[in-house]
Amino acid sequence: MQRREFLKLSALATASAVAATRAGAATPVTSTATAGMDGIAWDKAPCRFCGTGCHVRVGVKDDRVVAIQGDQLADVNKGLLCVKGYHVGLALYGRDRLTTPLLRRNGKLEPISWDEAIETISRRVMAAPERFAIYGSGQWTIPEGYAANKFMKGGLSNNHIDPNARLCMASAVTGYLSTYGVDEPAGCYDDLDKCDVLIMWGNNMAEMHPVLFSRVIDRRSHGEKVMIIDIGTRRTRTTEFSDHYLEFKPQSDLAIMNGIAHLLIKNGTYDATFVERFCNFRKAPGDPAASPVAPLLGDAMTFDEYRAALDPYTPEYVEQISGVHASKIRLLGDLFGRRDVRITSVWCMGFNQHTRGTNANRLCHGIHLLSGHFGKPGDAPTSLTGQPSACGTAREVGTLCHLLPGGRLVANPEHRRESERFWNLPDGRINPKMGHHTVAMWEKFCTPTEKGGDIGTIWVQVTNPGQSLPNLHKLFKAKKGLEDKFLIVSDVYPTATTELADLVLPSSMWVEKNGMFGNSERRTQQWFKMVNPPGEARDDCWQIIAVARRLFESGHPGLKDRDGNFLFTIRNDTGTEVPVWDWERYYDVNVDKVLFEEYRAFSRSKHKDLAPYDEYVKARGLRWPVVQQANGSWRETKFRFSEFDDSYVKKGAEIQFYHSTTKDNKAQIWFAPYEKAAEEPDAEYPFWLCTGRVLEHWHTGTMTMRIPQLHGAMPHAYVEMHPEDAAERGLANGETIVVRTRRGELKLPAWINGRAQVPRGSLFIPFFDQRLLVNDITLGEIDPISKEPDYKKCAATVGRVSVAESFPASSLQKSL
Amino acid sequence: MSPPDPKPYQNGAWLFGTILLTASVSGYFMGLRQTSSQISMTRPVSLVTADSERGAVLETNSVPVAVSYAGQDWLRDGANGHWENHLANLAQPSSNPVALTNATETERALALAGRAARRAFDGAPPVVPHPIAQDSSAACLACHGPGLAVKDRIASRISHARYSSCTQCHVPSGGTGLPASEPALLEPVAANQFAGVTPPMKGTRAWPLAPPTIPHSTLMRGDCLSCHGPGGLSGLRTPHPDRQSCVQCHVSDAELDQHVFSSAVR
Repeated sequence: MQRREFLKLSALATASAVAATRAGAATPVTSTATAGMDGIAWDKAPCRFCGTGCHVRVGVKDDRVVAIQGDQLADVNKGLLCVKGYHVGLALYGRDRLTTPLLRRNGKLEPISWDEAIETISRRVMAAPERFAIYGSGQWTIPEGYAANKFMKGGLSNNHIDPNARLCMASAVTGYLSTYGVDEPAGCYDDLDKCDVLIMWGNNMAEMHPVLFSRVIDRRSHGEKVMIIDIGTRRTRTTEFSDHYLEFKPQSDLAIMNGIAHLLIKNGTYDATFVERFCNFRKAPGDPAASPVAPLLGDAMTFDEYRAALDPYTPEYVEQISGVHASKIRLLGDLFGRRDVRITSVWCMGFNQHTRGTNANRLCHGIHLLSGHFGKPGDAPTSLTGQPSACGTAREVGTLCHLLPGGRLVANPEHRRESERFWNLPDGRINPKMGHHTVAMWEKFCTPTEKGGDIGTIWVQVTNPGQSLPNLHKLFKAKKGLEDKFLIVSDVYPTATTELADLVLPSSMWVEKNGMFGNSERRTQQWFKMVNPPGEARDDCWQIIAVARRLFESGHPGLKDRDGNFLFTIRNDTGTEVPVWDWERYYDVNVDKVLFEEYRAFSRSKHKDLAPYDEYVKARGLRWPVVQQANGSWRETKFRFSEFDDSYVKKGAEIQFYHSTTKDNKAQIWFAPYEKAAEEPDAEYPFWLCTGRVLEHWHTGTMTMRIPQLHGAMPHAYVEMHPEDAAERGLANGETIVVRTRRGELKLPAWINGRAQVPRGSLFIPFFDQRLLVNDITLGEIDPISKEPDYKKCAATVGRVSVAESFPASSLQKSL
Repeated sequence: MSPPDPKPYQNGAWLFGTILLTASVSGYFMGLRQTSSQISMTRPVSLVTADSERGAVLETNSVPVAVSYAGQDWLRDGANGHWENHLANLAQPSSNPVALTNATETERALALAGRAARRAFDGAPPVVPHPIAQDSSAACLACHGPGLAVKDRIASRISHARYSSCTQCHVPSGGTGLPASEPALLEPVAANQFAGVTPPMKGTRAWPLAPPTIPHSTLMRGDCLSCHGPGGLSGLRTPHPDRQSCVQCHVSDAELDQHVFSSAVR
């Protein structure tokens, strides 16, 4: 080799080594996983489906997902997944993926360019910014929700943004806020490994959170003893694994919890020391309208008043209301009265989708606090979520109509000022008036403008309200024919919602984009883009930024910050602005990282501290508060408010509720009476109708119904009924029958002695099937505090199809 | 009775010892001289050679090939003089209960195709090819707990016994079992174009008869005999089902098993 050649080569080698070092130091923009011998590159991601937040390993080959594995090193799932999780990769490959923007012209959706689509949206917004709304999702990634929230509240001074999470966990939020003064569970999934007793309240965990359920029942395979108690309204797969099954009448969960509190006090087995040191008592406020937060603060009550209020709830009285035998109420009372067992309570939609959902949550926290079953590993009241980022994006980013990021309220002037500072906005930019919550937003959208329907355009992202809203005739389908209303839908497949959409935008999903989720146990998770989206599908976050940019260029003053710069000015590592609104340039920089670092500043005020983006790149999720240690490392927190783990608790305090609504570091034990449901069975409609989910399908089934293995196992919806009820009416298993409520009717097959067994006088219909929309007939009555609808209780009747068809049309769909 | 006088034997032994010692010492030195004069090593022989070189080394090596012990019949005499050293002639153990042969390529391909038909991709939990009890996992374990074979119908033994909520991962492929009064309801919403990773090829072998390595992840496949035992598909069965400790000879791959921790997450 010539000397000259050698010098040239070594110079090259040095240069590439330097480049490699730089690349190594900087955060990657997308996945850098390298393929093994088999050509498959593996990288990490949280599962796309429920709120458990299992970690999967995604195998990618030739720009396509080819395999999924449970991640053995993940705390959440320890290598296990459920049947949905194992097949999550197939969710990307339904043949009818949306691949081009579509605009409705003369009743037909026709392809248009992205430029036209962005222009169309920006014109709608420009024409009437205050009549524009965004309906988002607990499946939004954290940066997506953050961008949408900033765009609306910081850019358009418009608080009409609410997520579908309103329909699933709003009551859990109000429960936490009014009890602890701050949202989200104190405990975490580690409680499931430590508890001696697991109580599931109206929660079919074996089907809805199967990996967490296995985390408990698998302990039995290791020889551990754990008592499992299923308190529910129908026998399910969960019941099969349970030691006790307490079947209660719908709505009477309130009475059962009051019965437990009654026994704890009557028997003197409540934890007097814990209550004395850490708790106050609270009841509904005399004037709930006094202020926006009055219903959450409530009025003080003394212990004696509390005891007196509980006085009527003897086991016998509770039995009368709930149908649960008094001895079983005593069993629960005795368990909570014991100091030598650790009790974990979990719940999900049973409590939350409840016209007294806030109270149900409060009472459950109450019996745990009253008995001191709190703040130790295994002793915890914990709500579970149904969406992968209901906590991360809806609750923490504050994409609800009354919130700002980091647990701030739009109604609070100080919170608005802080947010304006973080966003570098002129003073007073953020609108102090709460926006429309979900049900109100859709009601206004479906009401003619001249009759007060003050929402003209809704942009839906990552959710399917045309199937998941209650009482669809009123809250969704009534949009049809309202010419001046405009529905924009960003999604990956045609859905019940796109059927009425005027503009459809094709979106990237899951590992087709960078993302971050926050699961049920406060764990923030990160993943990288691993494959390209199909056709012209683009990221939801890009869609928001592109519209914001178009408005900025069109001169909308809201898209300028205090210094006149674009609200979403994204800079790369060298400080150069990247025009990310140009899709070709969107992945020139890691937009997720830039937005997350900006959002992170909001997380401190409620001690929900988030670590830098790069820490999440390295981890399989971290549970907040993630607190930086003296040596510079970042430490997650498993047990909040407990001195042994939460670094924000004062030394020696043992337990400290540092966001207490009463400002005395104490939690609130609420009294709330048993009250009847909004609609109960009567002579005309003699059945309770409950709706819910099944193992195989996730929510409205738009993804899982396109996965052959899941569709094959559960191809369609059905109505469960008791064999004696069926026999009385001469209905056969598998026969198509009609279920009627005051909202309408639905024809679908009956399933008798099927997967679950309902008691007499009850019906159950899952909501995943787009062809059999149970929400056509659900009630839609909401909890007055959380504004979350009750999907679990309304009155219905059933009959043979021929009989139903003979009903006069006027008796159907009365409310329309 | 007194012991016989040992003296005559002692004298004889002493004489024999002396002769033997003389013969061996002189033989040793003669042998040394002969070796150094006859062997000339012109190049070293490497201990490990590539397969391709193995034959060549043997042919071109200047080291003289030693006459095999069995070939030195001219040295032998007496009763063992004509004994031949063939392994086949060794006594065979009586306990070879199942004399099985390896599956043929066709049988193996058939088995893999059968497996693939029940899985979205290799590594996915298989779907259940029969109706199930919808409300409980107990019924699954009645057959799949111990494993069951009736003629050619096989209920494979659970390969991950610590997990007991069977229907969490395994769902029936043929629907709920509810009589379909509306056949249209069984139609898929849309086809799926996913193409999953296919089963791995055979494990690697160090030489043709070495035990093959495990070509797949052992996650959820901790009980080898559930697939490779007598209750497994015929193309995948081990030819030596009497041996129970599979991983004694067949090793798994740390990368496939997610045990390469450093690269598992960047």
